[in-house]
This record gives sequence, structure tokens and C-alpha cells, in this order.
Amino acid sequence: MVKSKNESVLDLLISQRDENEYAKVESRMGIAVKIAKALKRKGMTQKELAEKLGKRPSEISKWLTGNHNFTHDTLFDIQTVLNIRLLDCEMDSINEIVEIKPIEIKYKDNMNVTVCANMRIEFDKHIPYKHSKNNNRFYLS
Amino acid sequence: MEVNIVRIEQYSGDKAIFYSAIVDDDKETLFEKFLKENIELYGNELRNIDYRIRAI
Repeated sequence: MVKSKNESVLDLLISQRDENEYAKVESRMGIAVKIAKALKRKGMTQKELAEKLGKRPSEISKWLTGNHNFTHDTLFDIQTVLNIRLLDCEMDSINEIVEIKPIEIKYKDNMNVTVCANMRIEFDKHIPYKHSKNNNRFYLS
Repeated sequence: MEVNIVRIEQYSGDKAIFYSAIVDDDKETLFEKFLKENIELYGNELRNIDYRIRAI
């Protein structure tokens, strides 16, 4: 590691940050905070959580350091016991493509006018969606 | 032994302030010394510390 005369080691460390790596660290810490807050809200101890999940209390402590790389199944079990959401993949396929097509209106003199229809679609519950600007299609996600 | 508290600007912001200490007439904080001593052998660990402090 080369540092210039007046640059501190801290400045050098900061200059070499990898934003992708940082995002991972932040995410892991976020999960730990979420678990800790849920435990507090439920009045549950780490030991009680360990018992419900069939884990050792030391493992729960390790989770709460904010440095742990969880497996999917562990996150799934934790969110079930604590009634929180740690995973965000409830729908694994596109259910329906909702397409809004422009409506073409022709006038008597054959002048074409294209109007985009405004449609209101109501679902039974809120379903998150994404809009693709490329093909002007809406995807349920 | 005289200890002075120094604010570490690189980590300080609206929600939290990070301090280190300078002992006697030293020019570097204890944190800076710690980084210097360990950066060659434990660079990855120090980077992790940097990210975690930043996240806090």
C-alpha cells in the first residue's frame, strides 16, 4: 500500500473503498439490527430465540454482530419465528403481463390520432410492479 | 499522561460523531496508530472496520 507524504492511513483506506463491498456490509448489519429490534419488540431473549430455532445461544450472538453471512433457510426460519421480513422474494415468477396499448382513433378524413388509454386495474391486495420503459409493459413482481 | 479527545471528521456526521484519543504530545491519534500498525498484515479486516463504522 503506497501513501503520499501528507495522506493519513485513514484517508488511504477511505480512498480504496469498494462500494459494492460496503453495500454488503451495510446489508448484513441491517439484518442484525432488524433481528435485534424484533427480539426487543417481542420481549424475547437471545436464548429463547435459540431454543425456538434449535440453535446455540452463541450462534445468535454471532448473528447480532452484523458480520454474519446467513443462508437463505436460516433467514427464512428467523423471519418466521420473529414475524418479520428478511427475505424479499415472495413471488418467484411473473404472474401476469399487463399491457397498455395505445388506442388508434381514425377521423373521417383519415387522419390518424393515437391515444394512450388510461386504465385502472384493481387488485385484491397491493401487488408490487415494475414498469419497463423499453416496451411500455407492466410486470407484476 | 495527558489524553486529548479528537474528533475524526471522516466518520462524523449528523447522526453520530467518532472520536479518538491523542496521548501526551503525540501527533497521531490512537486510531491512526492502530491503522498504521495493522494495515499491511490485516488490510481486509481494517477495510471491514471502515465499512462498519461508516454504516453506523
